[in-house]
Amino acid sequence: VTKTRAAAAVFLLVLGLWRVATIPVDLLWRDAAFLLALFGLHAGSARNPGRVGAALAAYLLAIYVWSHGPLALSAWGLRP
Amino acid sequence: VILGLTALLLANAGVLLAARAIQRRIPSAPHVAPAIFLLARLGVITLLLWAAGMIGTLDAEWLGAAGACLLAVLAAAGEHRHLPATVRPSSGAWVLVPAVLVAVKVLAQAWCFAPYNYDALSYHLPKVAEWVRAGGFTREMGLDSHASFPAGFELIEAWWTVFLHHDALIELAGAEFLLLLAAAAYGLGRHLGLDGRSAGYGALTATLVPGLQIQATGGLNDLPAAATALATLLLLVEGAPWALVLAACGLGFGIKPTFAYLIPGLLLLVRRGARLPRAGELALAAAGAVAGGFWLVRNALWYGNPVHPVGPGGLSDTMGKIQAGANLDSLLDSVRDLVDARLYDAHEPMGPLLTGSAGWGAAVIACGLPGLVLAMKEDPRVRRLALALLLSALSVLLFTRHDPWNLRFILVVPAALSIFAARFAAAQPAARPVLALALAFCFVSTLLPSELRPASAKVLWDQGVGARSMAPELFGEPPSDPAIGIFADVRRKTYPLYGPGYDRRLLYLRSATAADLVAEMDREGVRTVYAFPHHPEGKAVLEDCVRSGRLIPLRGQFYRREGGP
Repeated sequence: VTKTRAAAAVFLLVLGLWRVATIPVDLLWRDAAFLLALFGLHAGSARNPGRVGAALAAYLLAIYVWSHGPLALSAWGLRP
Repeated sequence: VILGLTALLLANAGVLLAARAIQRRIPSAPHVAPAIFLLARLGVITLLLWAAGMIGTLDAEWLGAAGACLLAVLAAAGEHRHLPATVRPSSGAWVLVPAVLVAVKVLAQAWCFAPYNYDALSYHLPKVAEWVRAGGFTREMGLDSHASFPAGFELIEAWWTVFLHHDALIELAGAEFLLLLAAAAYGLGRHLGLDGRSAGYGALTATLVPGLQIQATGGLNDLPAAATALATLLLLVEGAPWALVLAACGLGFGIKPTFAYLIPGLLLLVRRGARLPRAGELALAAAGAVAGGFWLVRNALWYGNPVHPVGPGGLSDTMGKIQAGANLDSLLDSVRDLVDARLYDAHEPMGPLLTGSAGWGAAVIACGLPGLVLAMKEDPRVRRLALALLLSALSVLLFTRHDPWNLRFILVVPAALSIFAARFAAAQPAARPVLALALAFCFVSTLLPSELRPASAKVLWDQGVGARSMAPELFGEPPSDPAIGIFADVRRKTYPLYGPGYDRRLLYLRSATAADLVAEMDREGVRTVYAFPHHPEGKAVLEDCVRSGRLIPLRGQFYRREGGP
């Protein structure tokens, strides 16, 4: 393990612990999914980067569209 | 109109040739040249308007003549022979077709919208109106305390209004910076090893970052600041001449002072740059100093404080609050807000102010962030760039107040992440449909800004281009007086009262008593006032005027002066 990788792992661990300690409960699912996505991407990229990466990108797109989509419709006076 | 159009064409031709002359004298890789060319164009316009504003020749005749002279001198020197015969984009049709769609969308919005944004109408654009009406820089810039902020972007807006003496083309100022953003993203993509097509997708993704796309026609200066910052990043990583980097920084600072807070990250990317002849280096450095420093010197002379109205304790007045110095709470609150909520843009439809939103958009979140993680694993240059961006963003958030709008100041981050979205899609074909869907979502969700409801957009469309203005929406039909007084103690959207052709004079009234207010109106020959005070002192002045019969309510917030001389 190189020093850079060890430093990155410690940084991510501290960041993760900080998030778990401070995040509102109703947001936890989103962050957990996001962190899982990044770790999955990291792990998956060595084996089958295409499918894993695309699946995670689609998941993140779905989260964003779920959040902002109704507002985008409301700009046109439409209610979902 | 014909004279104005001729002057507009001549001046733009002169400036374009001058920009080409500057760009070809600066050694650079081909993928950096477009960004340098656009920076040079914006720099030449800035200097030209600065000079015209200072000596009182800010009008179509003088600027057209200056453009014609520039054109003649450069043509006599044979500069026109160095124009590229054809421009062949290396990105291919798969990028060009959506890029043309984006360009058509932005141009259509520029044509169909009148200035509509709250901040633009209240303190950015009144100074443009005053300059164009007076034919030079004026001390009067409106009642808002923020009016004295550096106005580099307003100079470019003045460029698109002064020739026709009309604001029909004013949104092209933002469109110019969207083009600079695309050129910088393309150059950065090529620098990081992307081929022409992928770098083209990176540029396309950057222009469709919702916070940036919506500002292209929104009249705010965050897109211009982000575009200039991305171009500066490109110059730094490419080892451009230091004087050019300094000029870009001057331009960025003159557009928005928060640009200065990006510097800690930019310093990480500094490397030994190419050298230019000493005269060229001095000229570029001087241009940067003028573009960035002029506003500070002006404020120091006028108000005794270069960063007026911000003092050592910041600013807290009826127009808004600004933090001075570093504040760790601001940083932590902003970061927490970004990751907890604003990244998802779940507060309101997309608008230029990005209230409660980050404005990074679907493509950056779905593909840009994962793409960055992958790219960081593989390329040390990306790790360095990411560290620089992180440091710059943290610095900005440390030095700016945490409020619902402050994430606009770090839009350079999603702009840079766009390159990694394209890199991600290039490396992983299965992710390409996701990026395409995300870009389509960004395109559609920025068609109509949150501040323009469909009914308002229809009103604007029905007015026709010559009369297009938000005035009927905001005030009903304004009185037909050639001059109107403005009496307000909080931020009010006064710009549309000038009229799209700047035909009406606005008299800003700073009176503390009813007697002073009517006396000033009488002295200036103004019979109608738009009076909309919010605080008790201002309301008392207005009530005194009405009670004593010196002002008669007309309708809405308009009042008519009765009696007097």
